[in-house]
Order: sequence, then structure tokens, then C-alpha cells
Amino acid sequence: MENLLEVNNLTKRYAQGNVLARISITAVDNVSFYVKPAEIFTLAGESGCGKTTTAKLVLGFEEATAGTMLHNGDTRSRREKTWLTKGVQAIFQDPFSTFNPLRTVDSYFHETVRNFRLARSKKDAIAHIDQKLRLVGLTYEDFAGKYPNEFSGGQLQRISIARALVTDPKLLIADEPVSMVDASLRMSIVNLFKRLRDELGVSILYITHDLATAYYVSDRIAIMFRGNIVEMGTVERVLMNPRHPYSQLLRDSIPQADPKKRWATKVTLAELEQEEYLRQGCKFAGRCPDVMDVCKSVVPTDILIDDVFVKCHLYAEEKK
Amino acid sequence: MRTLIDLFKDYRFSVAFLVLSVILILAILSFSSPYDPTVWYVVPRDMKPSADHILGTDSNGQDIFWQATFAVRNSLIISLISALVSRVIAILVGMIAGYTGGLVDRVLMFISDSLLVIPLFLIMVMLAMMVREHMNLVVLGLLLSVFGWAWDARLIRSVVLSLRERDFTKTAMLSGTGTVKLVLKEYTPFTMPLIFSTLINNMSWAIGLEMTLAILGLVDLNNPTLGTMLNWAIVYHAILLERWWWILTPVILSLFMFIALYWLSVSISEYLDPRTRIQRVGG
Amino acid sequence: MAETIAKTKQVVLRTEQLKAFYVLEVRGIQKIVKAVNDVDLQIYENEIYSIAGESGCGKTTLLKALFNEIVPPLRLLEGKICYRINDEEIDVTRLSKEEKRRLRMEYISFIPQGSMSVFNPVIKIESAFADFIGSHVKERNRAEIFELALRRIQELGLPSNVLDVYPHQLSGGMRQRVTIALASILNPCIMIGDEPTTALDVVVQRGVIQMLMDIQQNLKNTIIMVTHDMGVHANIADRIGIMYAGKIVEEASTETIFAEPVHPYTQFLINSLPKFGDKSMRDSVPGSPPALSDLPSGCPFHPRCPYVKDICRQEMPDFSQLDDNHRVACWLVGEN
Repeated sequence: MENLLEVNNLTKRYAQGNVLARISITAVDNVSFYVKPAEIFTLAGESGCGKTTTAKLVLGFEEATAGTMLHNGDTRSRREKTWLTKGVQAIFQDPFSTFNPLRTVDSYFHETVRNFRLARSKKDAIAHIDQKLRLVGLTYEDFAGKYPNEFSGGQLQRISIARALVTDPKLLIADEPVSMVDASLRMSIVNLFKRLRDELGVSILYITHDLATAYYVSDRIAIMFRGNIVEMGTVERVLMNPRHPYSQLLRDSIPQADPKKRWATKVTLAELEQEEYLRQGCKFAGRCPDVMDVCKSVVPTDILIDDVFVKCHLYAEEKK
Repeated sequence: MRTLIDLFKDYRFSVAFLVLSVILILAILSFSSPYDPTVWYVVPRDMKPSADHILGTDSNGQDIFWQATFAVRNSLIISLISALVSRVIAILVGMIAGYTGGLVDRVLMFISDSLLVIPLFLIMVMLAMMVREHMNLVVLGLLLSVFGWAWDARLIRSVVLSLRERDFTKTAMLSGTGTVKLVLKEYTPFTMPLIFSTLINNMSWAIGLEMTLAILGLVDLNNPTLGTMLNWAIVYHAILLERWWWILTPVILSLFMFIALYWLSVSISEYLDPRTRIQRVGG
Repeated sequence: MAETIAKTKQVVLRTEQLKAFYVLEVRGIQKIVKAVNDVDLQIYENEIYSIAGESGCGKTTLLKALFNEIVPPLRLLEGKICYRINDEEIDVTRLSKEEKRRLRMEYISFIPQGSMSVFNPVIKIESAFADFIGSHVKERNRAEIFELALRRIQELGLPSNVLDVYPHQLSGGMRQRVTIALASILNPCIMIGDEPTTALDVVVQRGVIQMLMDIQQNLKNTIIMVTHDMGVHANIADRIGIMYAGKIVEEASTETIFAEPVHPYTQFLINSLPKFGDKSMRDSVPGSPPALSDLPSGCPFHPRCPYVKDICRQEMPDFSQLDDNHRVACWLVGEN
């Protein structure tokens, strides 16, 4: 079976500063990954790691500086809008900014149906929309004629997911879909993702900084740091036994809801983030507890150990 | 209907509405004027207000009241043409520049900024002198509109620029909406208050500018407008000769118009402002 | 010889039957939002007390009230808020504006949510520090103030050049830490934090929590904070209060809350969180919290409670004291 999405050596550079002092920030640095049909693939990392930029590139909202993307085997082109927006849809972080506050929420649904000619009459359109709403636990009567501010955050996020499902996409890009929803309500939305994968065969590119939900819902995961993928593999392997020092730091820093499992050690935080972007060699060398001399000058390569890709000099030795 | 009722709760809107209604009635009355406004000496000159002539007569032999109805009508026509045409240009330029960005944006803003820095008054005087023979209401209106769009185009552009980055733009794109429809449908509720208030402001501005040009004698003085009435009154030394009824008529009429237009613009744009609209929307 | 000194900790902040409502008028109709609905709290010195609850339960309003920032449309309907200053208990709701101002920063300081917008964007951080310190400690000159600020910054592990930059040059996490440093600079007795770690990356969050705990250990003062993240509570708090619909429904030490949660809502809150390493099926709390302007009768949790009884629909339960430290307001417990 072909990969739904394949990204190879994707790079995106931004120029910052003014005419006199320009620096180039590489937000996405030589990133490669793939997403299979009916799987949930997570891009995880803290803010500034490049995951949101990668999402924008995949959705075609920005142009890559270098690299290729393939969708279902076709080289992507922004001009081919139909397959792009029908087959690939997105869910954003803040449900309240996803919708125009001055428009009713159902108008977006009807507009999608009309633009993609998904129904032949108003009645068919309503039936189609109602079916998608039921997938997320709502009905058409509940939501017809209402404005975004009449719903709670959790409800609106579900509606946003339903909107993404209207065109029967095969790939959903979910950019931090639960970070603005209360912690106690997150599970219901994340369970919904699982159902979409199992019952409809939809794949989800799940972008998050919350490793707890990532562990719970994903099949495979890639950890990103300052534009690079530093570790990638199945979620069991990567999160239960992280190899890259940054992955280890990330996992250890998740606050456990158990007072017996408080943090034992202290953490040092990065000083000014821009410096890390511009490092020669491994970008994590400034904070890495296992840093070696080679890390400060040579960029590590991707090493495959136990079916997991790790971008770290520590493992170059092991392979030999 | 509900909108109007809500608007009337604002005293500014109510007063403005009243005043402008009266002015509109005056303008419509002009069609039933017993006198031809462009002809002189149809009535005895320089008579004080009386039963026959409510506002008296002027030195040209015209009934001031009926003159005023024509003046109001013509001033309104000029200002409406100016305001409407310049809105269209401002909206087109602002939206295209804001959404497209890049070179198109820079070129359009360059043109717009150039128009802003040109000393308006000198150019207007120069153009008015050149076009004098063909000067009529429509020409004057168009002339004014050429200079009335630059500032507002930039305002609209900045609104569009900020809206373009919002998530709901992306949602509309993902719903398959084309660019033109997106800009018109999604952004118009946000640019509406701006367009409305600048329209009314532009009307005020146009009337004021017309009056200035008229006092300088650069328009067709035979066609009565608020400006020309003022011009004639000054030329015939109405203040010196204490013919208050003549000079005060255009002054007070235009004063009322300016205040009414301002209040109308402020109350409507406050009502249409997305920030207050969002509070009202959705029960 | 075992010393059995009864550790009677001093109460530094106390509320008594506190009721603070928002009185709003929306298009001619009056709406009353019962954000803080009869809250009795006792906060001790040298502890970290954190309040847990979903959004819309009134926790931010409670913090505002504790900080004595009750401005219209928020009105104090009933009750007292008492600070213990110099061994004297003062009802702070009756203080004058100047007296209130002096208390702030010196006795009690506030770390707002989304500290991104705390700093004036057009002045450097050191000026913000100078303003705060200078308005409370008149005798110091500018150089000494700068010294003080620099020392505190360094003590807390922040880079020294942080004073010399503009706010937008710092990341969100760094700004938050600088805000906390600023809030602690006059060594206040009580520090109040409104979701201090929300919207921060997980590693930065750990650093912020660390920083708060360091400050608390050095100054031996009290920190009161609010967050909806139970993991943060588990790591930082000594005692936890669970808030629902404007009321505190359960309060206990951290260990007790996690080991033996009694109130059904507390149980839900804890069970709805994904435990790392556990892929078993979990679910959210069913239903949604009530609107504070339209509360159900009796116990506000009864529409969502799986153990609801008739009395729950009629009457609000009083607190039952289960232990020295553990109290809960639920009809399943106290059947008085």
C-alpha cells in the first residue's frame, strides 16, 4: 500500500532582521517522514521546533525552500487544489479563531458542500452534514443557525473536526487540537481521533507538545527539536525507551499526576533560543548532559537502531 | 428593522437622522420650486424675510429659500458621487493590495501614498481652473473622488492584512472558497464599519472642499450649491450690509449637515464595529 | 527524644463565607454570575496551596478576590478576606486605596495568566523592575535597585542580560520566569499565580515549577496558585483545593487527594488524565460544567454525578471533616 503522505528533505528558511543585519532561521531542516493510510503519526516537540511550520508546508499554505512532498505517490502541486483540499483537511488549535465570529458555523459546512459539489439538494446537504456531526457526537438541530460564541471550546473543536470530515478526507492535519481544551475534556477528542482511524480509515498527522496524549493515541511518532527530527519510530519504542537525550528530557519533564513521582533532578533551560538555531553541529549540544566534542562541530546523521531513527553521535559508536 | 430600532437608541443617530431627513425633504422640495434657480431677477432684490419669501431674497433677485433647496440638493449630489466613487476605488485598491501582497501591494501603496502627499489644495485649484468650462456637478464629484480614496484604501488594506493571518481565512480556503469570494464574504463584515464611516466622512469632506472651491470662484457659479450661495453672499458684501438672512442660510445649513453627518457616521460605525457586534450576536 | 511539637502553622490568609458575584447588564437584562459562591479558606504560612478546577469554575475570580482586586462588575456581596500582617488579622476589604496599594507587592503579589502582556513593550525589562521597586521602596537610588534586581535574577538562574532587552526579544517561557522573579523581588508573604504554567512548553513548565518551589523554599512564604493540570498540582502543591461552580468541594494534602479522592468530581478529574505508559481506555468527565449565571439547585455537580441522590438535588452539602487536613462537601459522606 502506498504511503498517503511522503515528505523528503523538506527545508524552510526564514530571513529575519533588517537590511543591515539579516540572519536566516531554518525553521524546518531537512525533514523526512511518511504517513501510512489509517495511522496516527505524531510530530512532537516544544514551541519553536518547526512542527507547525511543517504542517503549513504540508497543507500548502507556505512554499518550501527545498525538498519534496508526495501525496498518494503524486508530487504535490498547489495548483491541484481539488485533491489537496478534498483529500487533506486541517484542524487548528483555537476553535474560536477557526471560525469567523460573525458567521454562523453551519454556513461553513454548506459552503464546503457547495464548493465540492457533495450533494444535489439542500436536503441531501443537511443529511450529509448531519452524518458528519453524528460522528463527533452532535446533531444538525443542535448546531444550525448558531454562532461560534454560542458553543463551548470543546464543542466547537468537535464541530471543527466535523467540518474537516465533510469532504471525506484521507488525511487530517491536526495542529495542537487539544491544547486549548480543558485537560479533563481532552480525552474525548483524542478518543474521537482513534475512532476515525479505526472506523473510517482516516490518517491523522497529529502535531502536539503533549506527550501524554501522543502516547495514548499515536502509532508512530517523530520528536522534533529546532527544525530537526531527532528521533522517530513507533510510539512504544520512542516514548517508553527514548534514546536521544532531548527525547529523554522531554519525557522526563512530563508532570505525572502522582505525587510519588515528582521530579528528582533539576533542569537547565535554554538561554536565548535563537542561539540554538544557529549552532554548528548538533543543535542540542548546549544543553545536552552527554555532550561530546564532536557534537559541537559535526551535524549528527540519522542512525537506525531497533527500528528507530536517532539523530545523535552517541549511537554512531554503537553501530560500529 | 431590529437594526434601526437599536440604532435609534443612540441619541446621536436619532438627531442626525432627523436633521438629514429635513435636509432631504428640502432637497426634494427643490423639484417643486416656483423659480428657476439659474435665472436672475425673478423676484425683488434684497428683501427681508416675509410671508412671501420665508428667508428673504438675495442681491441676484432670487428667493433664498428656494435657492437653498437647490443648493442642498446639488451639494448632496456632488458629495454622494465623490463619496461613492472613491469608496469603490478605495475598496478595490485596499483589498487587492492587502490580500495579494508583494509587488502589487507595493505599487498600489506607492500610488496611494503619492496622492496623499501631494498638496491637495493647489492641485485642486489647478485642475478646477483647467476643467472650468466643462465643470458641472458630475465632473466636480469625480474630481473630488480622485483625491478621496487614498487614505481609506490604506485603512482597508491594514484590516485585510490582519484578517489574512487569522485562522478562519485558512478554514475558508480549506472549504474550497476561491480568493475573490473569500475576501468579499469573509472580510466584508469587518471592513463594513470602516467603509460606512469613511463614506459619510468623505461626504462631509466633499461638501467642505466644494465650498472652498466655490468661494474661490472655481466652479460654475450659476448652478446653486451651498458653496456658490456663500460665494455670492460674500461678493455682494452681505455681512457688511447686514443681510443676515442671506449669509446665514448656507452657513447654518452646512453646519447642520456637517454635524448630522458626523453623528451618523460615528453611531453607525460604533454599531457595526465587529467588537460590539460579536457581543450582540448569538443571543 | 522525639520532639512532638504540635506544628501549629500560622494562618496568613483567611476567607469567611466569601461571596463575589459579577453583576452584568446585557441589553437591559440583569445577569448575575456567581463566580465565588460561599468560600471558606484557610491558607497557612510556608506552604503551596493550589486550586484545581475546569475553566469556568470561578477560580480566576477567586484569585482576584484573594488579591483584594474586587472591581465592578465584580462585587463583594458577603464575607471577609483577612490577611495576617504583623500578627494582626486585618479585613482587607475595608482598606483604603493607598493602604491596598502598599500591601501589594510587599505583602502579596500576583502573577497573572498569560504573562506575555505584563511588560510594557516599549521599555526594557530593567525599567519595569525599576518602576516596581522604586514605587515601593523610596529610599533606594537607581543603582541599588538595579543591584537588587540583578542579584535576584541571578539567584533564580536567569541569564543576567535579561534585564537589558525588550520584552519581545524574550520567549514566552523566559518572560514568565522574569515575571515571577519580579513578583518575588520584595519578598512578599503571599504570591498568587493564575495558571502560571499554562501555555508553556513542558520543559519550560518544569523549569517554572522548579523556580516557584525554589523561591518558596528560600523565602519560606506562601504560594497560592490555580491550574487545571493535575500533573502540575501533583508536583508542586502541599495542599490542593478542588473547585467546582464557585465552591470548594474538596480539600486535602496532595498525597491524600491523589490516593483517596472522595468527591466524585475529584475522582473524575484524576481519572480523566492520560497516565503516561498506560494505553487503557480513558474518558473525559461527562457533560459540561454549569454556567455560573444559571446554577442548578442543591449541589451544583448533581447533573453530572453518577451517585446522585434526591437530597443532592435539593440541598447543598456542608463540609464534613474527614481528617485533620481533609474536608469534603458531599452528601455521600456527611449525612448530618
